[in-house]
Amino acid sequence: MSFFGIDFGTTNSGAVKLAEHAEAQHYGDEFGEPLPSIVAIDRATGVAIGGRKVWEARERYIDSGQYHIVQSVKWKLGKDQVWVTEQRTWSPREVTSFILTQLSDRAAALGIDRIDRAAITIPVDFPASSRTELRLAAEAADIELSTFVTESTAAFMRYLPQLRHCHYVAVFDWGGGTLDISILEIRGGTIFELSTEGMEIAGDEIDLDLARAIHARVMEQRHCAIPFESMPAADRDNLRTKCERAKCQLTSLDSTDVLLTSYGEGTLHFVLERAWFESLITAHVDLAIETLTKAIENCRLSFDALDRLLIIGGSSKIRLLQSKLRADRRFSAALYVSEQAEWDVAHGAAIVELSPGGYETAESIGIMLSDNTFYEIISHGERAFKRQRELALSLVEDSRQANIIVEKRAKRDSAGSERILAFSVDTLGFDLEELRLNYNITHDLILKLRASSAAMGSRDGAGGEYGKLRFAYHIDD
Amino acid sequence: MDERIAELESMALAARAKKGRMDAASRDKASALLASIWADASIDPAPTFQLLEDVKAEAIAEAIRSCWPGMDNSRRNLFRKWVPAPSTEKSYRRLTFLVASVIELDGATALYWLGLLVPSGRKNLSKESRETLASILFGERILSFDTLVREGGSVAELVRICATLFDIAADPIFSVSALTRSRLATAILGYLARPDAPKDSLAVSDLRSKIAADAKKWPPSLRDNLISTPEATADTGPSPPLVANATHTQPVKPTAQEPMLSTSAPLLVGPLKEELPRLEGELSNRISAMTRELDLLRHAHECIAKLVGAAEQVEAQREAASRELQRVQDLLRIAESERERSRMDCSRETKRASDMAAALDQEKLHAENERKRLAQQISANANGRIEEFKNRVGLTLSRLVIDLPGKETPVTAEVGKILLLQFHQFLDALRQEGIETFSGRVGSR
Repeated sequence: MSFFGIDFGTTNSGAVKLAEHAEAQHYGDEFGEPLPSIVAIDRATGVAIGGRKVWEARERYIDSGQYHIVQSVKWKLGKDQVWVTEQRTWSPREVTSFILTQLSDRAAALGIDRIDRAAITIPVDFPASSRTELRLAAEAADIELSTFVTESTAAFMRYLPQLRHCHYVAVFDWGGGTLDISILEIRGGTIFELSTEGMEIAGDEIDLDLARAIHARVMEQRHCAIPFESMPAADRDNLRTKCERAKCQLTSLDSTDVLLTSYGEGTLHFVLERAWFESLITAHVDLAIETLTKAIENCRLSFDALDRLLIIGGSSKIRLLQSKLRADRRFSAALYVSEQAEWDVAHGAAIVELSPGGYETAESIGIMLSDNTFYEIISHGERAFKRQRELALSLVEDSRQANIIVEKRAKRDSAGSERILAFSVDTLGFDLEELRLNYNITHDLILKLRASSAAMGSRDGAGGEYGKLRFAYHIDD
Repeated sequence: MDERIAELESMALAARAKKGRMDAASRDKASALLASIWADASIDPAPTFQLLEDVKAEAIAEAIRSCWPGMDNSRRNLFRKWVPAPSTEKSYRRLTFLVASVIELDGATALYWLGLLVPSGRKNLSKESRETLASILFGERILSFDTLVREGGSVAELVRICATLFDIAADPIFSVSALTRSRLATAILGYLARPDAPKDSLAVSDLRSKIAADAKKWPPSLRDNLISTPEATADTGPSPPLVANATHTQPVKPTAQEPMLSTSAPLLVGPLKEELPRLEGELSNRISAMTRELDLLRHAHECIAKLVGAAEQVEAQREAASRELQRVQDLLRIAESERERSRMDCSRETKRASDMAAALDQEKLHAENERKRLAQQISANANGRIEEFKNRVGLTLSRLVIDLPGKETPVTAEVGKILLLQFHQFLDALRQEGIETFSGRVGSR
């Protein structure tokens, strides 16, 4: 029996397989690294290619004008954007399906089994429409999406044995595209996301900054002022590739050479010192730590209360970040640095797929009655259900329309509530006319409601859906 | 409703509730009530008819016997009409008791009811009917049949009934006492001696011969007494005094019950003295015979006591054996249930073993398939990982020489230096990937 988890990331994606009596298997690109979530679509033929080869030459693909280069497709799911070619049109769902199929193909090539069912990670604030589209994309890739799992929860699950007894854990996920920070509270086996913060400065941005800085130095030596963006695409690609490698080298060395036989009008030989590199990225690192601080402060948590600070993601290997965190008394005691930072999230998703558990509502949902009281229909801590429920209501005025107002609260007795849905239902207008309210939480964690007059039938009903409910993941024993 | 009828009704209901059983006191009381009702001319006794079905036959008979003399003809007829022809053993028995109750009082009624008991159309009575008649008419209470023969109606009917009764009385199966038989015979012969009695019919001859044959089995005194009667000694006609005494003089009634005295006492006063020695001898014989009979009875009593003891012992043994049988049967049932359970257990275990064997085969097959699949997976994974490793080495190296000039490109000193450094980076990258090179040592030399 195999269990798959998929980290569908903005920049890179990966899958992890867990099986009995076997080590976790990682599936990414053909080089054994996470698969870059980049796709080049030939404008003439409509054929798509993706992975490392496109990533390495992305500037050339872009400059050639022959390809649509699709990056960060995750955030385009559920939107109207499409990529038109002479042969066909690609939607974000199809591009996503293409990336997931590449992962499934890789799993089949290395481990016989295709990915037929998996838990897939999503960001905390991933929109409801995007969740629905991601499920359909997975179905198109012949993958049954068993459950969504937030990236931070997946990271926590990856280190569950080490973190099981913690109360508060901060997950610091610094990858190629974004920095995502989540503060988790673990109470009674349930993982609550207390707050999330993030920034869009990450590994790719650091590579680009480094390339720009080296370019500036070289131009200075050459006494010319050609902007980086004006350089040939191949030179830009080559320099960014060399910079990415140099960045990785500096995680273990104090200096490294950036060498190009051809860069613009001459050669490029730049001795990259770690101190100089760190001076370049200090602002980014400080901003990242500041974002972490803000996330902790947002949930009014003292730094002493934080039991663990889990550092994951490719960019978390940067020595400056680790040394600053170790030197910072607020975080030094809680610091826990991942060893396989690129695969942790996918690994955690596979553990979620393997372990019994499920989502519980982290809010109370209710409808407002005519006397302005809050009538709870879904309670806080209730396991997310897929089966439809029915509630019978009565019309108290001889009106031809009934107004259904749905609100949410932290808990049933909490003060203050937020209106999340309001819609009107046609009625026959007689006193105490029966209304039926049907509601459920779908697989995509969307609350759906539909109301109708019992006398008029469900065809004349009205309803709505709400996709921003907060959930908490419960780990069953 | 009269209180007596009401009381009788409650007693009848109680008897019905007990399925016809009545104790001696109830029976006596019911008999007294019934007699009182039927003897009282001021009340209508008809409501008692439906109650009579539940009252014991003995009680009814006793009541009728006591009240019959006081009843007028209409009331007697009312009762007579009620009495149905017997159709069941119970009704047969009841009617027999009624006959016994009136046989000494009302010969005509007795004959009428006997006619119902002994229907003329039937050739033979059943054994049960004969037993009933014998036990009631010829039982403990010795009845006189003189009234029957005297007041009976139809001659032929009377002869038929008498013949049947004597046939039953003489049947050795019923062990009717010789005294009773002799009384019946005396009454019959007395009747036949009457002038109006039939003389030469076949039935009469047959009856006479049966009586004569049976008389040979009687004690000599009874036989002699019968022989001494005019009818028995010679068929010359009845003796007027005998008939006169028997029919007209009420005080002579005891005489009718004691035929030996009644027939001989007035005639044998003279010869009694002569007969005295013989009578004394006979009495002496009789006393000694009675002594022997007493011894015999005592012996019989002892035997019966022993038999009763033995029977009780046998009964105790039977009960013990019955208990033992019950115990053995219980044990057998337990053993059977145990055997059944064991059989089911055996069957279930056999099925389980069979299922397990099948499951084992399935598991083996599954394990073999899994082994093959894992072997394929390991092979594919190993090949894939090697491929990945090669690809990664290739990617790393190609990244280093991503800008490698073409072979024909003129190499300047500056480009040559870059290439040299790249070549060293190349070797470093190989070492970082775990591929040993010797270039470093060669270079150092």
